[in-house]
Amino acid sequence: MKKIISIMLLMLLTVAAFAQNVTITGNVKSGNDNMPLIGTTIVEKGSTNGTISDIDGNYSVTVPSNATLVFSMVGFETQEISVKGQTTINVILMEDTKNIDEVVVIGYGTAKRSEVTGSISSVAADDITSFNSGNAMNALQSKINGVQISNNGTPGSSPRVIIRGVTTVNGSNPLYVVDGMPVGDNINFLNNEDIESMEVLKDASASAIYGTRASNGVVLITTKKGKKGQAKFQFTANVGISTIGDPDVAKASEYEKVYKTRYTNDKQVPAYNGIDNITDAEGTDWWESTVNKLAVTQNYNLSFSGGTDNFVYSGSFGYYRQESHYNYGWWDKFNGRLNTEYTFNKYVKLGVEFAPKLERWDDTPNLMGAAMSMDPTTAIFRYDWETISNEYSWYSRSNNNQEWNPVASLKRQTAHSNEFGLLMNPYIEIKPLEGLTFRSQFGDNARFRISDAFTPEFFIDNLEQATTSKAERNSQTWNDWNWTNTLNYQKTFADAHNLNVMVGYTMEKFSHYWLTGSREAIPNNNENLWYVSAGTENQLASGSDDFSTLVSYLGRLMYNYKSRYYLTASVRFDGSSKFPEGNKFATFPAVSLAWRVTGEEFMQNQHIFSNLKLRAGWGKVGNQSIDNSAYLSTIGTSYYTVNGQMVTGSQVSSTANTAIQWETVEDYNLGLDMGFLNDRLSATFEIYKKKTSDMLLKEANLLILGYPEWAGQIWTNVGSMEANGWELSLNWKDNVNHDFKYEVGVNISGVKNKAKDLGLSSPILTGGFNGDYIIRNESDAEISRFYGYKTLGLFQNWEDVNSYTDEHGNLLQPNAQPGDLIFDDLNNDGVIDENDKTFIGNAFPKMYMGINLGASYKNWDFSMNFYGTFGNDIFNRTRERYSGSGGQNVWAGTLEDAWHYEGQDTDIPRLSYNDANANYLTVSDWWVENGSYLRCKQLQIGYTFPQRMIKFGTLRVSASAQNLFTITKYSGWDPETAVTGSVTESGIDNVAYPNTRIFMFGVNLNF
Amino acid sequence: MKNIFKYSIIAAAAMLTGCTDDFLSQDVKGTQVLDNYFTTSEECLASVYGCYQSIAFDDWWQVYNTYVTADICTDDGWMNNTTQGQDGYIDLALYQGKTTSGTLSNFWQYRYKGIHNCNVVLEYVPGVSSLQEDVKNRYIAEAKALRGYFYFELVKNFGGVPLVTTMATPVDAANMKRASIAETYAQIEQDYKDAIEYLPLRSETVKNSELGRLTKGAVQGLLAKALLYQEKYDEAKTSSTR
Repeated sequence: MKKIISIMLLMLLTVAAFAQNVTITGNVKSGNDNMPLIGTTIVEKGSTNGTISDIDGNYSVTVPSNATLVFSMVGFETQEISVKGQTTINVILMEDTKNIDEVVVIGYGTAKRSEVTGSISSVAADDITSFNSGNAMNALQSKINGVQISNNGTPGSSPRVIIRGVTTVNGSNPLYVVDGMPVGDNINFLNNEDIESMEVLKDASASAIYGTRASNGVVLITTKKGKKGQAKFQFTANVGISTIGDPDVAKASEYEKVYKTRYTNDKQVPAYNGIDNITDAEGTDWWESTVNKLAVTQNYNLSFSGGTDNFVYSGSFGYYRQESHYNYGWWDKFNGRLNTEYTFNKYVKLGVEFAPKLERWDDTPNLMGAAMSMDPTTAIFRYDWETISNEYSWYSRSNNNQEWNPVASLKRQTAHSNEFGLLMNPYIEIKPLEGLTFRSQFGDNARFRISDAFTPEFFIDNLEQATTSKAERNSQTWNDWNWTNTLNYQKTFADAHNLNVMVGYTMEKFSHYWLTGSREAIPNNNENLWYVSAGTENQLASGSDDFSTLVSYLGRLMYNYKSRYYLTASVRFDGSSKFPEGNKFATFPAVSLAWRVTGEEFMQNQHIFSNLKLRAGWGKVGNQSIDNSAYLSTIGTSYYTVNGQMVTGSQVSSTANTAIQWETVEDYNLGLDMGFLNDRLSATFEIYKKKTSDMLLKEANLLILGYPEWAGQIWTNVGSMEANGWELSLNWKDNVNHDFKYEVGVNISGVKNKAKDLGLSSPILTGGFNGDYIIRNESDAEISRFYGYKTLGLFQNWEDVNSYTDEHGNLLQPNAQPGDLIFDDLNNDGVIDENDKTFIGNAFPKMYMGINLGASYKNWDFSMNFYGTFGNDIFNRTRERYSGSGGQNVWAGTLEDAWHYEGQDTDIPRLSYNDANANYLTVSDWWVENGSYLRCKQLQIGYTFPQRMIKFGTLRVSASAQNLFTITKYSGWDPETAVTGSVTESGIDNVAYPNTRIFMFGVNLNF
Repeated sequence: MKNIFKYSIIAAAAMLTGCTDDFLSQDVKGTQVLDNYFTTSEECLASVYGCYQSIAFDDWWQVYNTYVTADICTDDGWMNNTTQGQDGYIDLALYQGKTTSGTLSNFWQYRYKGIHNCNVVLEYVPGVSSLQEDVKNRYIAEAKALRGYFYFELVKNFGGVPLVTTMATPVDAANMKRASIAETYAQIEQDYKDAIEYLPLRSETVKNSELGRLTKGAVQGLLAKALLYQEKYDEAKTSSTR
C-alpha cells in the first residue's frame, strides 16, 4: 500500500516537473454591457481543476503554464484561452445569441424568440424523446404551462388536450400542424424521434393566423432536417415493462357473507345460488384470470442525417409497440421518414418530406370493471365444458349476478385494424430578391384503414349469448391536401426598423371515402371464416364520401424598432364549405405588442434584469367542427308494412339551420418575461381572458317542433363560454462547475371555465346515473360540476331516524333505517326532493402544476418530472363496490367496514338488498372525493460512456420509471384517468384503463 | 426567373378570383336533401309511409311503447317480474310518474316527431306539380289523418297541447301557447274530417294491394272515437254511420 502511494506521489512530481504551475488572475466581463460577470466557470481544459468568478468578475486559478483555460457561463459563448506563460487573463464573454434568440416556429414562418409577441411555448426534441410514449403530447404533460393533458393507459389512446381552458363544447383538442401541413387533432401517427421541436400557440394573437380551426389552440410540429456534414447515425432502443396493481376485491368467502347479509339485514331470505360456506380457496380470482400483471412496451428507432452544400437529408425508421394488460389488445406502428432539400442556386430551393407509416391494433377491451364485479364463487368454466364443441360456450354464467364472464368476453375479442398512411410534403422556395422569399408547398396526407371485427356465436346462458355470429369490415380512406403559398419580405431600414411581412394563400380539401359491410350466420367459428364473405344471412352495407374545403387569405406584419418595441399584426380571411352561401367567409384578426425593457438605454446600468419584456395581445380565432351538412335538411329512410310487404318510406333525418356561421373566440393576453442573473433564473407570467361568441352547439329545441334528432337538436350559433386564467413559469438553470449542472422548472397555472350561455340546451345534463344525471352544465356557471344531494353522515339509531322530521313531525326519510345516509333537506321545506340538490363538486381543477428537475454530474444525468392538478373533485363510481348491489363483488373488508353497529366509525352505509333509502341510487356528495394529485410522471437516470471507452461515437444508457408514485387523497384507482372524457362530462371515475407504472430501459447510440 | 414569378402572380390572381366559389361548394354525398326532394310521385309516397312509420316511433322491440306507456297506469297493464331494468315504467305503474320521467318525455317527443313528419308532407306535397290531383289529395288526407291521430294520443294523456300545424322554426315555437282541450279536439276533428273526404274505401285498398294504408272507414272510426272522448255522442253516431 505504502509503495503504491509513493509511486503515485512520484508520478505526480514527474508531471509537475514537466510543466510548472502558475497562478493566473483576471476579470470576466460581459461583451454586451461591459459589466462584470459573476459565476463564470473557469476550468483547466481536460481536468476538473477550476474556479468561479466572484461578484466583481475577478478570479484566480493555479494551473500548469502550458494549460488551456475554458471560460463558460450560461447564456454566453464559451471561450478557450491558452495560458502560454501569461499571469493575467481578462476575458470578455459574448452573449450566446443562438441560445437566447432561439428560432421559434410561428406558423407560416419563423421568428426569433425575442420577436415573439404572443404566447408561444416551445419544447425541444430532447424533452419529447426523453419520455417514451406513443404520442408526443404525453411527453409534454408537465412541460408546457397552461396545457392540461390527461390520458388513460389504453394502448394507442390519444390524450385529451385542453389549451388554456375550455371555450367550446365541440371538442377540446388543438389543431396539429406538421411542417406547415394541418393534420387534424391527433398525432398518434407521428414518430416522436422525428420531432425537432414543438411549439404550442396558446393565445389568439399567435394562433389567429390559423383562423378557422385555431380556437382550441395550435400545436406546430417541426420534423428533423438534415445538416451539412458527414453522415450521422443514431440508434435508440427502449424496452419497458408495465405493471398494474391488483384491486383489492373480496374473496369468495367474504363475498358470500356480504351477499347474504344484504338480505338478512332487510329481513329477507337470501336468494343465493351455489355452494354455501365457501372458502377463499374455492373461489375464482377473476382479476388474475382476466388481467395480466405485466405488459411490454418497445420502441426502436434508427435515424440518419447529413448533407453537402446543396443537398441535405435526414431520415428514420421507427417501430413502436405497446401491449395491453389483457391477452388481447395492442397497438404498434412502423414509421419511415425521408426529408431532403436540394439547393439549385442562390434563388431556388426544392425539398420534399416523405413519411409513410403503418399502424396496427387490436382493440383493447374494457373488462376491468367486469373483472372486479364478477361473482368469485363462480368457476371460470362450466363443469361440462368438455362436452361442448363451441369453445366460446365453455364458460360459466355468474352464479349470483348479471355480470358477463370476463374471461369469456376476453376470449371473444376480435377487432383488428390496419392503417397505412403517407404524408408527403413537397415544396419550392424562391428568393428572387434579397429579403424576399416565395414558398409554395403542396402537402398530402393520405390514410387507408381497414377494420375487421368478428363476434362468434355462443351460448353461456339465456341472458349471456349471441344467437348468431357476425363479421364486419369497415374500410376508410382519407385524403387531405393542402396547398400553401406564402410570400415573405424581410428588411432592416436604417439599422433600426426591422420589418417582416408575409402574405399567403391556402387551399385545403378534406376527403373521406368509406364503405362498411357485415353479414351474420358464419357457418362456424374457424378463424379463416372471420370475414364478411363467409356470412350467410342479413347482409348489410353502407358507404359514402364526405368532402369539405377551405380557402384562406392570410397576412402578417412583424415590425420592431431597435429590438425594443415590437408589433405583430395578422389577419386571416377564411372561407369554408361547411357554411351556407353568404356565411362562408369570416375574418380573424390579431394584434400584439411587446416592449423589451432591457433593450432600453436606461436599463444598461442595472444588474437585476438580464431580460424584461412586456407583451400584450388580442385576437380572434374560429371553430368550424360541425357536420358538413349542418345547413341542409337531410332525408333518411324508414319502413312501413303495406299489404304484408315491407315498403321503404322517407323522413327528414336532420334539420337545417340555414343561418349557421362561424364560432368565434376572442382572446386577450398579457405577458411578462423576466430574466435574472444572466438568465440563470427566468420567469414568465401571463394572464388571459377568452370569450366565445356564436358558439356552435347542437342546441336542443322545444320538443313540439318535432325535429328528428334527439331533443330536437339542430346546429345553432347560440352559446357563449368564457375562460379566464393565469400562468406562472419559473426556471432556474445553473452550471455549478464544469462537472455539475442542474435545472429546476416549475409551471403553475389556473383557469376557470364558464358557460355563459347554453341557450335552450341549458342545463346540459351528462353522466347518466340510475335515471338521474351526475353533471349539470348550466348557463352562467362553471362547466362539469356534479349536482346532487348533500349528506349528513349515517343514521346511527332509530331515534336518529325518527327525529329527522319536518315541523309537523313527518319523517323526512320514511324508508331509512339506522346505517342509511342522511340527506340534507337543504331548502327546509320538509321534503327531500329535486329542490334540495345543489352543486357538490367541480371536475375542473383550480390549479395545475408541473415540476421538472434535471441535473448532470460528469457522465451521469438525472431527470424527474411531476404533474399534478389541485382543487378538482372526482365522482368516484367505484364506491358502488361497497354496496354489493345486483350481487356484484365488493371491496375487500366491506363486511366489516359497512355500518353494522351504533357509533361505528365509518361512512359506508349498511348492506341492504332493497336499498330502500336509495343510498347507492342517489347522486350525493357521498360519492365525491378530492381528486387533487401530484404524480411523478417520470424519473430517469442516464449514463453516457466516456469517449475513451467508446471510440466510434457516443453511447448512453438510461433507466426510467413512468408514473412512479402519486401523492393523492383520492381513494379510487387513477385520478388522471377519471378526468378524461368530454369537457361537459369530466371527472367521473368509471374504472377506465389506468395509467400504469412502466419501467423503461433505453440505449442511445450515436455514430 | 422573372417569368416564373410573373406566371405565379397570374396564377395566384386567377385563384383569388376564379374557382373559389365552386371549390367552397361541396355537395353532401350519399344522402338526399330536402332542398331537392319532393319532385316525384315515389318520393311523395315514401314520405307518407314515413308518417305511418311514426306510429311505431320509440318502440321497444316488439312492444308498442305508445300503448304500454298509457296502459301501464291502468288496470289493463301490470308490471312485475322482469330481468330487464324497470326504469321508466315502474314509477308509472305505481302512479308515481314525475314530470322528469323519461318515458313520458319520450312519449311526448315522439308524437311531435310524427306530427313534424306529417307537417313536412303537408308543406311540400301540395306543390308537387307532377302529381295527379287525386293522388295528391289522398297523400294529404293520409298525412292529416295521422296528424289528427298523434294529437289525439297527446290530448288523451296531457290535455290541451300546443298545436303545431306547419314546419315551424325555433322562433315560431318560442311564441306558441298551449291550446285548450277543446281547441286541440277541434284540430283533430278538422284533420279527420278533411281526410275522410279524400280517402278511399277499404275495398279499393284491398283491390290495389294497399292494405295497411288508411281508409275512409278507419278515419271515420278514429273521428268517432275522438268525439266519444268529448262525450259528443250524437255526432259520433252520425259521423260513423255516414
